[in-house]
Amino acid sequence: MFEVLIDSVKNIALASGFANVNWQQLVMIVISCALAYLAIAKGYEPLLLLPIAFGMMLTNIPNNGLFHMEFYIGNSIDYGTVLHDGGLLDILYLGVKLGLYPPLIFLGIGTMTDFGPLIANPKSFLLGAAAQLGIFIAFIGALLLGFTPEEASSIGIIGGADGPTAILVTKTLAPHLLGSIAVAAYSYMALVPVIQPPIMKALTTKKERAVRMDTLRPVSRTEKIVFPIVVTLVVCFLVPDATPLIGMLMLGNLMKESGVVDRLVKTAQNELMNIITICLGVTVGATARYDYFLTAKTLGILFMGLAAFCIGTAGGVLLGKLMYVLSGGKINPLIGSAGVSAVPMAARVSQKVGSEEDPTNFLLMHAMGPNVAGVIGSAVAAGVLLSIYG
Amino acid sequence: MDWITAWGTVLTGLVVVFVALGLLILLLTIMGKVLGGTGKKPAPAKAAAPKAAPAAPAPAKKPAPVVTAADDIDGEIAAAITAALAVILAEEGSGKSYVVKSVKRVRSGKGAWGQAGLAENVRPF
Repeated sequence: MFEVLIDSVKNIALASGFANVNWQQLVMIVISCALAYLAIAKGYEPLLLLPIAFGMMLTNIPNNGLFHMEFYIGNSIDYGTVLHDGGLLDILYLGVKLGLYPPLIFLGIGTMTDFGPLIANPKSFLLGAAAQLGIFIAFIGALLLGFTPEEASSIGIIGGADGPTAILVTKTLAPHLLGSIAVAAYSYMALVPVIQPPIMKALTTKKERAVRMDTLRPVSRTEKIVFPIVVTLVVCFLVPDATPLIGMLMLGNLMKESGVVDRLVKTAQNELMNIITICLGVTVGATARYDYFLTAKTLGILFMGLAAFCIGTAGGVLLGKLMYVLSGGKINPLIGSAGVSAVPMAARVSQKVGSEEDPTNFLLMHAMGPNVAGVIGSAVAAGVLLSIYG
Repeated sequence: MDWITAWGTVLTGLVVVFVALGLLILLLTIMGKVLGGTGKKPAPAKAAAPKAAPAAPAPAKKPAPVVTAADDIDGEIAAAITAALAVILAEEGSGKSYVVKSVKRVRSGKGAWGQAGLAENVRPF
């Protein structure tokens, strides 16, 4: 009996994480704790960064069988194996792999977004388009660093500053990079208030930053109802690959603006959004396994992701400067930086930098136009990349 | 690496993004003209606001004080301000009676609520 006890303890010890852990897994656990610290103590995108950090920790604990990255790498997935041998996170990851979570997140975002400033000032769309420059310049940069076109597309889309869009593109084009790209995208989105202001100040003069913009015209309810239908028809006819994101975003917005399905709106923006956020965060974090994350490629992704953010910001501000000149000084170029998406953080940054020149200047609503236009712009850019390389 | 395809991707991406969003600008501008009326700026609130009531009721259980509101403050606002004062003074428990004689707007421009909303929105920085 004593021998049985010894053998059992020995087997448990040998199968435990302590006996099987390697130094890379320990490094990943430290990184996950650091990300959790940033989410909890610093408030950096906590809703997603916290589940991502914890998923990262879980996936790097040896022998727990929660997630098998190898099931999802390759041209085809054996769903029978996933369902038969997969762990909890394998099953939940199907929502990422099948492209379910990002569009459902967009549905929730649609129910929470007010497109009024964009409808009142449609020219904002130009700033939202210009800020997508970062995606394509980073795409070229990533190719120069030796990434494949599919990987470069996924890295470039970090510059769209839109987590669900980045995840949707990456799970299709470069699933092995999903963990690194999601961490880079959400980290940089949280760091928008740090990354953007120096670029905005460097590219604008004091006089330009102090421009006061005219009050936006009121937008009728009919316009707000017609808007999601028009956007859906135009964008989805032009770029069908953008339909999952734009379609769901606009469905959510139509539900909100119609005012006749309050129950659905409440579910989409609360319970559904929260459930999907948990599943998305923890499974995306789980893809950051040490053998996929601790590579030189991750450094390249972090570098090019930052470059995409910076170039996108510069693109928006520079077009803002052009519009400032063409409008005879009526447009404050600072609202251009909000075109990178990162709603509503980037618009807040425009307000903040503008108020440093003139504390009574109210740019927030003007910046919300390019900000929400950026969401549409990055979804269109994602559609283009998916149609070429998907 | 096929650089022709790569630069073609960049060009296609930027052109499609600008064309799609440019088309939306056109359609939304037309929509604004058809559905949004004249596209004029909102009229000043003052014009739409009803004339201020000369007096507002005092909070319950108080001797009826007379409130003289400024022209652009209507009776309901004066009543709300008076009620807020009553709550605060009751909480402080000074026990002294008081009379609200007038309500005046102290400054023009963006209101305190607007400033508070703005501060709330940019608070993380």
